[in-house]
Amino acid sequence: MAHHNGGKVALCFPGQLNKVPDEIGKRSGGGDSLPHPFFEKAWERAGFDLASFFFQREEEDQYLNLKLQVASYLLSMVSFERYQKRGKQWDVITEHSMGIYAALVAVEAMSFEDGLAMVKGVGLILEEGERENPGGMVAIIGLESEAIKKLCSDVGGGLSVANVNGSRQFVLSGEIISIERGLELALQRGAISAQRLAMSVPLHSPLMKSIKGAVQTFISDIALHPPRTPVVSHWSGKPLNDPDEIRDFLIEELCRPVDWEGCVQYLLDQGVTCFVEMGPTGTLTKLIRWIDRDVKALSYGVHDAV
Amino acid sequence: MLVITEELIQDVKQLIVERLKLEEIATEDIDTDAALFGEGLGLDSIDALELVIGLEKEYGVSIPDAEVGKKVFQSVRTIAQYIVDNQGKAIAAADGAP
Repeated sequence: MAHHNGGKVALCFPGQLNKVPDEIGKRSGGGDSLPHPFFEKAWERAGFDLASFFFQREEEDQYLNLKLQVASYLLSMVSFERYQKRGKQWDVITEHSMGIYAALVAVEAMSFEDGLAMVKGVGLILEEGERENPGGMVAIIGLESEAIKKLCSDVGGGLSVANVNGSRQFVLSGEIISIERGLELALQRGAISAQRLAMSVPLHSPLMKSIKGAVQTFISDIALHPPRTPVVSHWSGKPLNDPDEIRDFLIEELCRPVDWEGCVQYLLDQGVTCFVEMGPTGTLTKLIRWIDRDVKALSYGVHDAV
Repeated sequence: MLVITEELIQDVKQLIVERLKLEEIATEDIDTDAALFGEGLGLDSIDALELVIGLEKEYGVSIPDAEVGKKVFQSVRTIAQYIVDNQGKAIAAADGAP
């Protein structure tokens, strides 16, 4: 048990980065002088060079979201490794959206290598799905739940809530035309911010059902083990206990909204008093600050690794 | 008519540090005229909403939409100016300000 003022510690794995972090992509590539063994493995096994942010294979390098997903995975894993090496403890692991893959490696439900293969494999399915199912996501800050529901029904065309990140922080998914209309309406209705995310598919929405079969087939080949420490689902906050449950979650979560607010609330009720984010941006830390101003939330970062 | 005082500038900096829980940043580290978003302090839209709430609570001034927000949140000085220009409209609420 990792006690913080008598409470539990939760590690949080964030979803896909929305842009390339400032430290990344400014060096020359080719797999030389990679400053971390994880980055070397990414080059050897996935043909991805983090320092220069590129894939060896041209047909993969064209996919921005695929690159952002692999980069997010690597940076979270580096952050987690630093945390572990310093002998720091935790009680429970939670994740947001695509953060599930790194979270599953952290609880030893799969190996780092399989996690990398999964991120890349699912990422490619998403990119290929984009051709049949183009869409996007928009983050809306400032409007409350009722206003968001009304916005979705006014726009129509399958626009739906993809993330409940807080009482006034939402992400919507839908076809491109509904995303654009939703963004415009949100600003007209007093949102403090409405921004398109990099994602080019309507992730966490029923529109993703068409790729379920491909994901199911792909992940059936990846070895999963029972988690060594609790890892909780990002829509219920409840633990994912065994490989079958994890596999079902990995398929279902692509079509279902992330309830980050509910997940954090559930963990607070379970006695978590400290949240530590594993990644470079601190977005989840800021969302937790909104959900509960008094709870300790910090971003562990990746500082000396990149 | 109120003018921007050094005290108000300090209070705005204090509000930013407290509202955003910037534990590693002191008020004297914040440049009055530097950009708050993107470059500069590197704040984002989640922070912007916190500042909107902070300004409502402390000064009784509201930011009605993103367009106004963009202008107001350029720097500490533009926030102070907005408070000065708008506080008179809700002076009762501002009485409780520290």
